[in-house]
Amino acid sequence: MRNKPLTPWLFLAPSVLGFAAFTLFPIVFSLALAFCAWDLFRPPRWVGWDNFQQLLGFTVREAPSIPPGLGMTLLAGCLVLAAGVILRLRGGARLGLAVGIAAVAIFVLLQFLEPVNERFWYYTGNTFYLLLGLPLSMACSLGLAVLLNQTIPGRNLFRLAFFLPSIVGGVGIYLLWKWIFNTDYGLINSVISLVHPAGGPAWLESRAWAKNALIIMNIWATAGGANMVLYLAALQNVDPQLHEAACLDGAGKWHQFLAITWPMVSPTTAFILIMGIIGGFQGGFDAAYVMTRGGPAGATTTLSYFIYENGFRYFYMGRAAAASWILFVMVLGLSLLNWKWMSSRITY
Amino acid sequence: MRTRNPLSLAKTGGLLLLVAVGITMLYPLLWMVGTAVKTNDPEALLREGAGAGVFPDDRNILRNLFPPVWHWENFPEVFRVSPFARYYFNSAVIALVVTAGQLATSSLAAYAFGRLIFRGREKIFFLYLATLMIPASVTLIPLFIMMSWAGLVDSYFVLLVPPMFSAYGTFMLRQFFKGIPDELEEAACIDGCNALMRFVHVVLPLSGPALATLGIFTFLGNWQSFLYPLVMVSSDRLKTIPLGLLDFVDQNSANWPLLMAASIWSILPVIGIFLFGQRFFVSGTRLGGVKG
Amino acid sequence: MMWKWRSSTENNWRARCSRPCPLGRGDTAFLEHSPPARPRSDLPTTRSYLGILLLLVLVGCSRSTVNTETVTLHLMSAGGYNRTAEEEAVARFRAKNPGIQVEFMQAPGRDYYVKALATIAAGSELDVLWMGSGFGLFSWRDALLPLDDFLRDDADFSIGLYQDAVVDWYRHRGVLLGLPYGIDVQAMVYNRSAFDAAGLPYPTPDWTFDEYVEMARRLTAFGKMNAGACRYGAGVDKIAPHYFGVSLLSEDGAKSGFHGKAAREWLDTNVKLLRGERSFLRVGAQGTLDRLSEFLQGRVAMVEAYSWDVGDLRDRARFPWVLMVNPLGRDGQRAGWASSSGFAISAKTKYPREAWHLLKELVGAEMQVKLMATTVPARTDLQARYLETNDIPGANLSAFLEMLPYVKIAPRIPELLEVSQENDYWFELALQGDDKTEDIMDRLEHSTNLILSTSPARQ
Repeated sequence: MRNKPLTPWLFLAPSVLGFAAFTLFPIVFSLALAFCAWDLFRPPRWVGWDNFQQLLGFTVREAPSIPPGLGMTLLAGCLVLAAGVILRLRGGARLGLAVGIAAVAIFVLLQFLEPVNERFWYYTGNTFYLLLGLPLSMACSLGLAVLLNQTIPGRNLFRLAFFLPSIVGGVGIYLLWKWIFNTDYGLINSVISLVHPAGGPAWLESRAWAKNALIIMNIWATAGGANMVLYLAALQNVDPQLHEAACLDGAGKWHQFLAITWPMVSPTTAFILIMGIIGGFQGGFDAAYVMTRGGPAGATTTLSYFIYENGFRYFYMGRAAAASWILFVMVLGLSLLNWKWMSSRITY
Repeated sequence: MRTRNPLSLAKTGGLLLLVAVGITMLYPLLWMVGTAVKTNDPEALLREGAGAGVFPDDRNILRNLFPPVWHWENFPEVFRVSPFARYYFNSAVIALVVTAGQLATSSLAAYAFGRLIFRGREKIFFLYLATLMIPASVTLIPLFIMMSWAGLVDSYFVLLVPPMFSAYGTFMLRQFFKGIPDELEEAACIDGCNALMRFVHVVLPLSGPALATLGIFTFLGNWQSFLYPLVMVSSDRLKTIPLGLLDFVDQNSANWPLLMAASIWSILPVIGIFLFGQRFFVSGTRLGGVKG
Repeated sequence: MMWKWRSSTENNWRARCSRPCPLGRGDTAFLEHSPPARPRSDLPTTRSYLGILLLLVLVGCSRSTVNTETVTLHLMSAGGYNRTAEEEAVARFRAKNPGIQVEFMQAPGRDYYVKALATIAAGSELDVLWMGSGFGLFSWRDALLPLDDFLRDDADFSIGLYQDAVVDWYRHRGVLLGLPYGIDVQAMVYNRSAFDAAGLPYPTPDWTFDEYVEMARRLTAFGKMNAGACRYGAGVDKIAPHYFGVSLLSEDGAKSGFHGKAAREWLDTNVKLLRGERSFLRVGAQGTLDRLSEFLQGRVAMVEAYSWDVGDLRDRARFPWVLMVNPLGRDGQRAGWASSSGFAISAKTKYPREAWHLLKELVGAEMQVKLMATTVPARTDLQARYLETNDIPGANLSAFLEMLPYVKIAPRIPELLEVSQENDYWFELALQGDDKTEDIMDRLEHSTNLILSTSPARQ
C-alpha cells in the first residue's frame, strides 16, 4: 500500500517518543547507574564493579584480603562453561556427564569460597522457590479445563466462579489472605484444626511456611484464570474422535490424557510457561510488601523486593540498579533455557 | 451404548469435584464479606457474644462465617475514617486516562508496524520486543531520578504519562492488525484514502473486540498497580486505592472488619466491570494467547 | 465474520476521497513516487498531535502553576494523634502570617522516614517535616537546614526554656538541625485486675528483671488454668537489650554493640521466653497482634507503655491500670527507650524564613500543652504541668517523668533502617530456632559492622 514516507513516522511518533523517553533512556541510565554509588543526596561516585562484587562476589575463606572478584570470576566461568555445554549437547548421556562435572566443580569451589552477600543468594533462592507455584498452578488450570470441557449443567456458572479470583487482585485481596493465614484465628488453621488438633503452622510468621502460604494464595488466584481459559480453548480444538479411537483401542483415561491431550496443549503450555517465568521473576513484590514486609527473617523477600528495599528504603541506588540487571540476566537465561527445552517438545 | 453408566458416574464425580473446587475458590471471598460485617467494638461484642467478633473461641468456620448481627455500618465508616473517596477518584482517573492513552499510542504504533512499510521497521520492532523481557525494576529507579530532576515526582503527570507507553499493547495489537485481510484496505486505497483514514475507517472499527480487551486488561492492571505509585507518590491527594489501603492498614492495624470492608470497596468496581464485560475477558485471553 | 464489509464506511470514503490513487502492491510500493490524493489530509494528523502534546504539557505544568503572590508551605507528618494539634498550630501561624498557605502531607507511620527522604531527594516541595528517632537518616545526608542563624537572629524564641539534653539530640556535629516539642518515654504498664485475680503482689519501683519475668510466668500459668483471665503475663516485640547491659550500637554509633557473653544471654533469654516457654506473647511488628490492643482487650497483663499511649489507655481501658518504671536490668542499671518528637526544615526549602516561623509555632508552648496527653513537653517550664494536666488518679503517670534520667538515646546514624532491619533478621532467625544463638550473635555483629563500615553515607 502506498503512503508518504513521513506518514509511518507520524503514526509512530507518540509511541516511539514515549518509548525512548520512558523505556530506552532509563534502561541505558540504569546500566550506567549500576556502576555508581549514589544516594541521591551526595553526588554520584563511580565504583566500577563494586556493586556487582558486593552482591555476587565470593571471597576466599580465611583469606579476606583476596578480592572477591577472583571468586566471582571462577564461579561465573564454571557456570558459563556448563551453560555452553548444555546448550550444545542434546544427547542424554553426555548432557548428564557435563552437568555432573559442572556440579562437582562448583561444589569443590564452594568449599574454599564463601559469598560476600549470602543473603542475596538466599533471596535468589526465594525467587526460584516461588516460581514453583507456576507448574502447580498450570496443573490445576489444566485439570479444571479438562473437567470443564465436558458438557455439564451450569458450565458457564462454573467458569465464572473460577475466573472471579483471578481478576480481584490487589492490596485488598492480600489483606484478605493475610487474615486467612492468621495463625490463631485464620480460616486455614481453623480448617486444619478440625482434622489435626494441634493446629496448623504459623504461616506468615514462620520462616518455613511463609513461602508456601504465598504459593497457595497464588494458586488460588491463578488456577481458574486466563490460563484455564487458554487451556479450554486448546482442548476444544482437540478432535473428540481421537479420544473415541483411543477408547476403542482400550486405552484408559489417564493414558488417553498423556498420549492425546498433553501433546495437543503443549504450545499453550509453552506459552504460559514463558510468560509465567518472565512475570514470576519480577513478581512477589506486592504480596511481600503488604503481607509480610519481606517475611520473617527475609523468608518472603524476592529479588524485586530486595531491589525496592535497597533503592527506596536505604537509598543505595547503585546497588539496586546492579541487582536489577542481575535479575534481568537471570530472566534472560531462564527464558532461553526454557525456549530450547520446550522447542524440542512441542508438537503442533 | 453400554458405556453410558460409567460415563455418567464419571460425570457426576466430575461435577461434584467442580462444585467442591468452586466452593473452595469462593469461600475466601465469602469470608471477606463475613468478616466485613463483624465488629470490633467491645460493647457490641459483650451484647452479641464472642461469635460476633473476629477472635472467637469456637473456631468453626461455618458458624463463624457470618455474625449473628450484621454490622453494615463498617462500609460507610471506611469513608469517614480516611479520604477513600479521593483514592477512588485518583484510581479511576488514572486507570481511565492511562487506558485511553495506551490504546491510542499502541494502536497507532501497531498500525505502523503491522501495515505500513518503512525503513527500519523490523529493527525498531525488535527493540520493542527486546524490552518486553526487561523487568520493571530496571527502569523504575532511573525513572524516579529523571522525574525528580524534572520536578515532576508527586504529580499527576508522572502517574499518567509514563504508563501510557507500553510495548506489550503494541505487540498484541500488531498481531491482530496483521490478521486483517489486505483487500479491505486496498479497496479503501482505491477510493483515495490516505493512511490515517484507512486506519480510522477500516482498521479501528474492525478491531473493536481487540481494543476492548486490551482496554479492559490495561484498566485492571492500572487499577491494581502498586509499586509504581508507591515509589512516585507521597502526598495524600494523589494516592490511589492500593496506597490508600496501605495507609488504612497502618492506622487501623487490628481492626479486621474495617479492613475487610475497605478491601471490598476496592474490588467492587473490578467485579462490576467483570460482570458487565465478561465476554471480553474470555475472548481476550484467547486473542493474546497462542492460536493452537 | 469479523471482516464483514461495511457499506456505510464505504459510502464515507466515496464522499471524502475525490481522486483515485494508483494501486500499489508489495513492499516497494512506497518507494515509487506518486502524489497522494489529498496532500492536505495529513494536516489534521499534525494538528491532533500538536493538540495532544499541548495537553500533555498543560497537565505537566499544572503542578507548577505558581501563583507568585501566595506562598505555600508544605508540612509533612505522620498524622495520627498529632494531626489536630498540628492543624491548630498551622491556624495560629496563618493568623500571624496571612497570605501564606500551608498544605499537609501525610505519610503512614511505618514508612514515614523513607517517604520524607524520598520527597526531599526528589526535590518535591517540602518545607517543614516532623522529626523523631530517624534524625540520623537526614542529618548525615545534609537534608536539613541549619537553624543556628535563625536562633541567633530571632529574639522571640528562647531556646533556653527547652531542656538542653533534648535539644542536643537534634545537633549533628554541633549544628542544630531541628527543634523538639516533646520527649517520648517508655515505661511499663500493668493490668491491676489481672494481678488481683492471680493473687500476685504489684510491681514496685525497685523491681528487677528477674522478678518481672517471674510475674509474667505466673500470670501466664494462671491464665492457662482460668478462662476469662489474662492469657499472657507479658507481651513484647523483643525483650530489650538494655536489661542485659548491651545495646544495638556502640556509643559512637560506628560499631555493633552486640558482643560478648551478655549479648548471647540476651538472645538466649528472648528465645526461651518468646518461643520456648511461650510465657511472653509476641506482639508488635511482625505479627498481626498490636501491643496496645492486646493489653486493652485484657489478653496481656503487662506491656511496654509509651508516652503516646496515655490517651488510649485513659479512654479505652476497662480495668484499672498502673504505670511503673522499667525493672532494673541484670547489670543493676535501669534504662529505657526514649526519643524526641520535633520538627525540622528541609534543606531544599524555597522559603526558609517562612518555614522558620511555622517551625516555631509547631514546637511552641501551645503545641506542647495541646499534646500533653501524648508526650512529655520539651520545655522545662511545662514539664511541671505534665502530671496535673493528665490527671488520672492511681495511674502513676509520674513513672514517665521518673524514667527521664535513665533514658538512653540511640546514636543517630544514617544507616538506621538497614541496621535495624539486619537486627530484626537475625532475631527472627533465632526465634525460628534453627541455628545456635552463638553463631547468630557472631554473624549479627559481623554483618552490622560490615554495613556500618561500607555505608556510602559516611564516606
